[in-house]
Amino acid sequence: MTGKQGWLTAQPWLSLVVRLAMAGILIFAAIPKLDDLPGSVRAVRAYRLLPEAVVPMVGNLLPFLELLLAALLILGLFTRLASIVWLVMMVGFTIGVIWVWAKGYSIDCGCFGGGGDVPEGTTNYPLHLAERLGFSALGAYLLIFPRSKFSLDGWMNPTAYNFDQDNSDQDSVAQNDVAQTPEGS
Amino acid sequence: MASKNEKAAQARALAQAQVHQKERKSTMIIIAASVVGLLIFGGIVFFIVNSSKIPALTDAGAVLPAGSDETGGIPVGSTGTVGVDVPGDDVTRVDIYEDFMCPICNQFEQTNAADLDELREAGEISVYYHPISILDRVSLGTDYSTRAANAAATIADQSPEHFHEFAEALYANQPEENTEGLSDATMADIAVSVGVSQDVANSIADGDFRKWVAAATDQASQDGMSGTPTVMVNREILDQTEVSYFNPGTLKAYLESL
Repeated sequence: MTGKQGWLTAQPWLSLVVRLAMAGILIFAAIPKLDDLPGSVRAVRAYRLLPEAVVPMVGNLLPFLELLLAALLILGLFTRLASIVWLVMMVGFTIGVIWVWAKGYSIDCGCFGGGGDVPEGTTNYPLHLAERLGFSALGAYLLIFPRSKFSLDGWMNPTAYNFDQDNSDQDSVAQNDVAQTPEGS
Repeated sequence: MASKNEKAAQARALAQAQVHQKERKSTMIIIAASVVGLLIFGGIVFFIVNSSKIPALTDAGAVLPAGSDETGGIPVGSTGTVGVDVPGDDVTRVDIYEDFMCPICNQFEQTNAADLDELREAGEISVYYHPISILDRVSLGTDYSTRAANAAATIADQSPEHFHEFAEALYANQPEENTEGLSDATMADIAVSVGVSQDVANSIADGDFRKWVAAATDQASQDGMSGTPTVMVNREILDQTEVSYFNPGTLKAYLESL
């Protein structure tokens, strides 16, 4: 058992853990927003970044988008596409935090519900940015290694997911196969 | 030998073709199921968002408390009655955005209510109260912020001379955050205790102005309110770092200096 083979065995399991962690984060982010959709709209508005014409749509649809993405991640369906969407969302949120920080606004990010202005000194933008960075790292990992255990992607394309394959050359070919599935491109 | 190899190659090609066919089939099934899932999902989203749609304050068909204006403000006149003897544009207009569940709003009231009353009664300022709802999430599912704002709007509409006193009484009886808040019946009792008729007090529970509260809160957010209390002077947000209105007398001195 070489180190490379060990990695080949561990990677799909690690991808599974990352996949489910991302799904969990999304669900935790979506539930309080669904509980208070007008509050979600106000939280988006508090960033003072998007034009008013799209603020209600973004605030209302964001939690549903988060849930949909969580469902894809739980099922392991279109994993690479899901990780791209996740990364795009993280880029958006990061821009939001940098924006309010640069502008000197004192707001609650509303990431996990809540939102709006808060008293000065209670914001923690560096922590928020670190959180975004960590979440982005999860997404980047899944983007590079989308193959995971117990996934619909694997069920759909079993040859590319033949984990018991001892031949590592074949395995790297399989990895390419995953990259070429239509939903990934 | 060559023919044996050819046969093997043929068999392999056939097997591969079958595998590919299977792959394509399951891909199609998954894509079809996903599209159907997305459509159902989209329908649910549309339904939820649509059914929670609230008519804006200026929409025809919006139910507004009598005397309230297009910003969702309830003006209290110099005699203490909603919509009566409210000074015009020649005096400073003060807008107070508060959530009845918000402890800092209560602190704001205790610090400034008497000063604001004094200036208002002297006709030096007009005061527009905005009972809004941003803290429903801290009343254990009873939506106290919305119910309390609805109660205040009900009194403003049906018993305008008691609105201000009723609002003050709600602050005097403010529940803790993360409790169920006051029940509609308790708020009705409080209304009766400040002089509201029993019939009007009972109608608090009907929730006639809940949609108005939601619309007024959204309007407030569009006008720049993103936390309570928010104070506006002549429709501009008063920056707490410039006028520290939690210091007794500071707000009054500032308003008198205008």
